[in-house]
Amino acid sequence: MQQGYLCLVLHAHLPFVRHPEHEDFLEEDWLYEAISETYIPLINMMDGLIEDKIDFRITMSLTPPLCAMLSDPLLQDRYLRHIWKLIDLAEKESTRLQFQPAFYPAAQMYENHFKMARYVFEEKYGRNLLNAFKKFQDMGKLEIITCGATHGYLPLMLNKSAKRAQIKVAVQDYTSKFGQPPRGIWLPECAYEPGDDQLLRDEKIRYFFMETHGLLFAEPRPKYGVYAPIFCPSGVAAFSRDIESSRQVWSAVEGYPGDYRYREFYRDIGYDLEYDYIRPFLHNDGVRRNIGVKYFKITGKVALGEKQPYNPQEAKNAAAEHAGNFLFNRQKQIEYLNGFLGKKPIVVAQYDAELFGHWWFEGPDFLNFLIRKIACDQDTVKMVTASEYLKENPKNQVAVPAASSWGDKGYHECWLQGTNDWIYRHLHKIQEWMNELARDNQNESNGLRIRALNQAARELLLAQSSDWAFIMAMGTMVAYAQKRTCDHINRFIKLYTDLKNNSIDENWLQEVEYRDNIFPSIDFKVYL
Amino acid sequence: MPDTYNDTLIVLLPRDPQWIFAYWEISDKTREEVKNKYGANILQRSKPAIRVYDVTNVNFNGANANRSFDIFITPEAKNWYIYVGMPKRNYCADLGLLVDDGVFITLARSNVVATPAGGISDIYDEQWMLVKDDFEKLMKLSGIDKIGASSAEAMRMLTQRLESILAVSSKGGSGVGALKPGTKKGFWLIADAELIVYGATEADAMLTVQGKPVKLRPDGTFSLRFAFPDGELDIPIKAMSADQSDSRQITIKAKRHTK
Repeated sequence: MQQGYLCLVLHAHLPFVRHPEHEDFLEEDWLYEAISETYIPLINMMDGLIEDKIDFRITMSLTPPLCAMLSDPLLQDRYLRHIWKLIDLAEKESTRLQFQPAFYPAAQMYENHFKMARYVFEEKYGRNLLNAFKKFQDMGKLEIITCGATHGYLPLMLNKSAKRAQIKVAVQDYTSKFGQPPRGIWLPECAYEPGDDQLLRDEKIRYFFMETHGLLFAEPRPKYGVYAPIFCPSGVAAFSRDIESSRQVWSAVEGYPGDYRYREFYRDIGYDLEYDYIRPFLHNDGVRRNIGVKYFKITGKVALGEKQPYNPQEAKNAAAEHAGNFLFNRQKQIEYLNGFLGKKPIVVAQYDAELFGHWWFEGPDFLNFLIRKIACDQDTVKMVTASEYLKENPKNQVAVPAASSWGDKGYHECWLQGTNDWIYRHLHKIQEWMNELARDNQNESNGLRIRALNQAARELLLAQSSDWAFIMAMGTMVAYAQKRTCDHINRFIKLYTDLKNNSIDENWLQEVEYRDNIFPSIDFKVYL
Repeated sequence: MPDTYNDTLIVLLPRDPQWIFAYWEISDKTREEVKNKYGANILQRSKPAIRVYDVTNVNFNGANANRSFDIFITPEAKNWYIYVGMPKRNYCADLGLLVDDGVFITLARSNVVATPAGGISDIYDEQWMLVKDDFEKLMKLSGIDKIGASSAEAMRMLTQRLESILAVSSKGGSGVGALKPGTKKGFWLIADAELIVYGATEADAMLTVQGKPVKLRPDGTFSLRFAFPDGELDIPIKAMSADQSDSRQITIKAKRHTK
């Protein structure tokens, strides 16, 4: 007998990184790795479930920058170039390791993995993975939700027009790509402050996801904690994360991904193998970096040199075991909550999609086993989307959620600290100028000027990506994030100045349009 | 990027339930105006300051704040993190000069910000209520004491794992191949060997090595690289002509012994 719901939410996001001006660009790897390691395995999982007639419900946010990159012909070409190289490498590796029975199964696994990825990408879905996701949504198995246009951090945006544009442009972009407007949204970084929901309502979005304490600290107190959504005063529903199901997966200490049988992230052949052999597969600068082929398992608390060979079958068994354990815990949790609350609870398990496949190699296997076990081995827990839940449970408490985010410490500090607070003066200024440009040019009919105005809107949006501030705070590729922030702000300022002086540099404009080509049909009047 | 936009303004942003952030600018024009109005030596007679007002539930007119406090800033400062200490309040701030006679000259007024709630609400809805004990239990079940997990959790997970690996390793580097580095601490050496077999035949021939087909380069050359353990390895290399009428074989025997 069904006693509760599991809402699995995967947030798939990458910042818009596209550098046609460089033949080989390091940061574009983020996209190619995500495609090979996360998106294609998830797509294969869903295709497998459909073929085996296993019912499932997953919610995925596919952010506009990610969608733009997946549909971009230049990046599609580059991905193919990338995966063919990996196939070449994997074939060589299979040859090299054929006399090493401890490593040969893993080498064969990679060869199959990369060849399958190429086939799915190029032939099955015609180079555009959005075709796959749209197919699953049209079949009613996957609910795709949107996000801020460029993943902008709403609570630090100072003016409503800036927030409104992030939502509006996202909705327009989603509608053009998926053939229907979005029903739900993943707020960037789950960052919310009271009043933001009204902007969602204005765009006919019916629900959003936020961090746990956003709901727990709502006013008045939520009767069901995080186990039921609330309606904001605007009528938009707010769902919030169950920490327990997250911790089992995310936690560095207790989480599944640390199991000794799983693949070790830090033994990559980019570092391990003889230099001349691996050199052709590194970037042009010849620096040793992760390639994505790793032959060792975590093994335990041992030195890197003492890690044991990775055994794909053993790791798969571990994933099945953990899926069973996860399901068992959800059953117990849901049974208990049902008794306690007198209502079927909804457990919202929200994760970064990249966790499955990229950070945790066996993650997609885990999900596959989990979904099959839910469908075939029990009936306590039912998978559901937020839309379905609201249909079955139309009556919910009205409350105002609390300002919050899923950043470190739960508020805005991650994006507002010494490493990145300097950006806001500039972002707010160019926002003000964008409003001014929209007002002064709303009846513009000159084609060139309209192009410049639209490009200014693009530059503003790209500058607002919360990714840059996040990277600066994390200290990983700081120079790149700083450069992107400055580039977009400076491009905006030049467009603004040229428009005010009526001296638009057409060659320069064309170059910038080619490079920052997100949102091809954006209308600057969204900033009125 | 511009160092300044030559505006006069102060902007507040919320950071968390107890802290807000302010940035500001004073334009050249404003500096001139102030000097003209108050005298050229006004800057020596005053200290730059931010006056923070609690304007919760108030339609702020400059004089009706719930309370206020002043922060003295250095003349070169352009931003400040301000401890307000109170969640769920609204704040506004004036950028100004506090003159030595006690007068506050306002140069700019900020937007209003609200600090996040930071805790469970005091307000109940009668129609949606739980008994106190039950509510506390529910909060615990919901994980209220585990809040603050971050979107950087996956990265932290890996960083922690790397740190624990490095803590156990005598030398921080990654190993080479499948060899174990010596368990002694201090001076160390790792070495491995792989075998490269290479050659050439007619470009359209069919080549097998150890019975497995091998792809030739367009010019008919090939090279293969093998890792193999200690022991003996027989490598028969056989090429057959495209019309299958002729063939050649070369066998290479390799012996590996590591000491």
